[in-house]
Amino acid sequence: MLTPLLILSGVGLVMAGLLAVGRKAFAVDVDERQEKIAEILPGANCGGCGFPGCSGFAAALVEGKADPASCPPGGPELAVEIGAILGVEVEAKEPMVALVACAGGDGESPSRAGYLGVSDCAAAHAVAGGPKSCPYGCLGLGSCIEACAFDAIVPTSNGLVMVDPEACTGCGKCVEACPRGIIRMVPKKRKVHVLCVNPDKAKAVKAACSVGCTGCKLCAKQTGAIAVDGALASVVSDSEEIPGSAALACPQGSIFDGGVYSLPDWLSGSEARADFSRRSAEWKKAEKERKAAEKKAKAEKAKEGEA
Amino acid sequence: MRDATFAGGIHPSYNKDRTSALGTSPLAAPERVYVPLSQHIGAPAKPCVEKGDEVAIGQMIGEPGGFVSAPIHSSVSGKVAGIEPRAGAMGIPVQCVVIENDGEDRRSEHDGAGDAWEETPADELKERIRMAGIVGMGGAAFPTHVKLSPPPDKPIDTLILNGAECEPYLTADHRTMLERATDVVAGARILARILGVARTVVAVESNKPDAIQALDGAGAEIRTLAVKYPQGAEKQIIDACLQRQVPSGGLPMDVGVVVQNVGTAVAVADAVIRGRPLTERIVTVTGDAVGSPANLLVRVGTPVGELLAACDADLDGAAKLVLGGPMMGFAQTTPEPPVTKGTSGVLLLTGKHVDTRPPAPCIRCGRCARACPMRLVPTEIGRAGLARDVEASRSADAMDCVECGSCAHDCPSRIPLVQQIRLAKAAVTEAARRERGTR
Amino acid sequence: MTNKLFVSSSPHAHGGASSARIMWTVTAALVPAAAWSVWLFGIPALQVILATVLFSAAFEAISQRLAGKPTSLTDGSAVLTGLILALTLPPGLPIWICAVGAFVAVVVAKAVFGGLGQNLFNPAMTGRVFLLIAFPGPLTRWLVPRGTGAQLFDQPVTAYDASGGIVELGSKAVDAITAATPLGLLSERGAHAVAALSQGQEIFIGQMNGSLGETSGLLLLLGGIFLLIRRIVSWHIPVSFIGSVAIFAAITYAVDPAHYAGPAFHVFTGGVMIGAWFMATDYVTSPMFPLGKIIFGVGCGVLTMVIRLWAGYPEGVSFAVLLMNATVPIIDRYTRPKKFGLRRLTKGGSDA
Repeated sequence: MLTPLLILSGVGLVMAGLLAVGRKAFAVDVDERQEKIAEILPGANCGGCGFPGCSGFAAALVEGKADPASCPPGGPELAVEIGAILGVEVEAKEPMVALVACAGGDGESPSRAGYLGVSDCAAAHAVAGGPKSCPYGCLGLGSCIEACAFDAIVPTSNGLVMVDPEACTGCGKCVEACPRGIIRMVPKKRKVHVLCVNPDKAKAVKAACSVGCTGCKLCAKQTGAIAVDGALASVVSDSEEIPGSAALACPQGSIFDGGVYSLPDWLSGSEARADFSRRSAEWKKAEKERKAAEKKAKAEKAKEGEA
Repeated sequence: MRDATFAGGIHPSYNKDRTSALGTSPLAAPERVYVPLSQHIGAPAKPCVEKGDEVAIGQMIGEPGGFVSAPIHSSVSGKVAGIEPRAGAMGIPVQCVVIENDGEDRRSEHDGAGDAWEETPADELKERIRMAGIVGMGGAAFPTHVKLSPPPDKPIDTLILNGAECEPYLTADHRTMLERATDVVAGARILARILGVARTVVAVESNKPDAIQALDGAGAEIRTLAVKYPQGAEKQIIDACLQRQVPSGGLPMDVGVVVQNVGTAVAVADAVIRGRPLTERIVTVTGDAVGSPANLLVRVGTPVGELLAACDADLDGAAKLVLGGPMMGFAQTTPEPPVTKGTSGVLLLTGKHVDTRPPAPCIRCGRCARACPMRLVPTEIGRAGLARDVEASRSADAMDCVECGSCAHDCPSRIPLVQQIRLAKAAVTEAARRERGTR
Repeated sequence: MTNKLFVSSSPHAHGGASSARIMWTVTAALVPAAAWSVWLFGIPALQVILATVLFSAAFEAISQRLAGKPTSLTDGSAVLTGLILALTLPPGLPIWICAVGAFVAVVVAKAVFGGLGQNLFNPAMTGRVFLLIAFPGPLTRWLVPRGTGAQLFDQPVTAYDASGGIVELGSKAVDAITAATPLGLLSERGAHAVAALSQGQEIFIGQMNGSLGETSGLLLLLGGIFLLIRRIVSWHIPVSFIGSVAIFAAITYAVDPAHYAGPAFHVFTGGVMIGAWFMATDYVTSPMFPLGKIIFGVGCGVLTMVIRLWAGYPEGVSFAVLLMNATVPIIDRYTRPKKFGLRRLTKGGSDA
């Protein structure tokens, strides 16, 4: 009993000793900054920085080949910490999240044909121009969901998909995965979004979807932060706060106001839409009255001027 | 002599009985035609008319957009209503010249070479073919004059006329060979003259004995082919007739051959001898949702809906509308698209032909590999395609696939193999594009 | 238009083949042999068949539910696996052992790999081999078939009563009689012990004992030919498997007839018939291409004979098939068909 015990213990000690010696003898010289950085990185290996995994990013940073602010999951705080380790000043980048710019679900942009085949957005898009009435809209088959390493995209109940901005780290893999380019990166703090990518003119858009942007420019009149390119509006600046009237002015209801509604409610809740219709109608009525009063006041002033 | 054939292939139900004996009947021209600017492989035609212009049948309304391109001509007489997008066969809108038909069927003046074509220089004949807008009528719609211009380092010794018509349901070529056998042979002789070939073979599947007889009577050298799909695919027909295999990534001219559809030969004869540009073609309208199937002579630009209406079709009860044949044709969401130079068939099918069950897992039975005429392993390419794996797609030879559909037709698990293979091909093409961009 | 059309990628025509129909047809081809075994052995055979099949179906349904997939019992693959496994088992095997075998076959060898189409090893063979190694006793207890009694082989039989105790043959309390199988005899006592059998027709028609599927060579052959005609199996694997067994046996018999049994004996005893037609031909675990299939069949045949003659087990088919299953990916890699366009051109255009 004693002999095997001693032998095995002895073998164990010898092996341990060999390992310890090996660790020292075969140690690889690593910049200690690289190890420090690797410890504070998120460890998700999402590739959002453009390097192969977090260790790749750390190595590139100490070689000076990477921008410390390019780790989306880490955010601006991480960028500053990396900067401290490297001894450089880091400008915090605006956190960005992904947005699926389409609200045309089964009710708004119904399918024009039954689709049979590979359950993948790129595949469906290539068959007969896609089964959706709108040839630019979200097919809901989940290629983006597949691509997301953070489970930040979820399907809605009406055939669309939605990004959860809290779970999204801004790595951008979903943007590549969408065959129709519907997903874009937007500043996380932005609350108002135009949920449409259809560039066609009004007649075609209305035939394709009941909430598509027709390029009427009524939103752009309310704020300089929204511009219309051709027949499609989009938010172009975050320097000014976008007023609630921009969304209310839209006759199609294409603009989502995150200050008033939550995205899940907006995308699949008819309650949110009904509330919007009511508020929009009220606002339009109030605008009409205001304009009429202004006109009247102007006319009276002109009369006084004459007198 | 035994019927010639190739390795692989399948035996689908042919369903040609309802239309193979029906003579071609002209379809009344519609009130408006929508003539697409791009009905061919290559650059789209450039419009050379404007809204309000008066046009006649055969008048050029679009000029070629380059060498690999073709002009388009009006198929009715009337007034140009505009140049607008219209639903196309691929599901995306296509730009069309819209013409209001005045019902007079005035023809524009063209003179053919008549029988004097035999003395006309080959280059001039080719130019007549080019300006007549002739493209491959078998479905691929490749500009014919380009096919007739192989580079000098690719000598051509044989012309094959493709009368196989291996797609189920379609009988347009069959009727062409029966009704216009003399013009098929005349067209073949014109093509042979242009190419300078010593030998012309008209290849016909043995399920068309009447066509074989008619062509034989008109003086053609016939090669009978075994009835198998896809016997009419270019590479397979060359292999069957001449035992030459077009190399991977190559073209028929690499083995000294040019292949032309029999319908194209007739169009060539009409253009060269009679001076008529390509403005109409035979379309087989059939399927179990069609009450009175027919082989219709249709003006280019006629909306498919008109063909269906003329054949007592039950669109409400139908489950699938296909332009082309069932193996390689395109499913439609609406009957709006216009007939083009390459539309060989309109199929309206009921739910019996549509299986909505999801596919079963691949059981590695190997039937897809046995069916593949290119001797590939479709299930392997499909797997690579689903994973967007460029390396695996390349080593499985994804780009050699001709998308004939034989694999998916025989798959017991109903796997959409062709669609998966297309994903593989897209991944390879995209990767090649990126690699070229960075070099 | 009121009804919506369907769109899909081409092709829009299908030949009508269905993997479910294939599985059920193979099951049907096995029914005659299974029925024969029930006739030979009675209730003990029926209970093994029913238990194994039902447990296979149950385990497949449960594992599919747990994996969040829809249940697909109608595709016939679980039932077929269960039936094949049952036919490799001896009659009278306790039901709980049948259940364990079904579990290993359907869950461990199939579901764990990802379900239908993803497994590397033949599920029925895996189940059978597991049982043989885990429960060697019950798996080698062979009941004597009906109507043959102890006269069949001129060798000792053992009689059992209901509780498994050994009794005198001829006493009223006999419930089961076991005897060694022909292969068992060959392995223990040598070729002379089975010489008479090799000439007789019993092994062909199936009046001998063994596992349920070992008995009737004729019915299995007919079932196999049925599958051949229906184009469900191709000739490559059965012919090369059986052929290599026969040739191997013929060579050894010619070299030493006293020690080795002849080709007819080896082909019709044990699992060669059922293995060659129904197990080695399983699409998922066998090669896809013709040359590969022949290599696979020859490998199975040779390994079967090597194990039978010179290894520790009297029967080698199940081990042989499993070992060859492991080589299938590499066989497939190197026996792919040559793609179109690689053949040397014959200039001058001569045709057949």
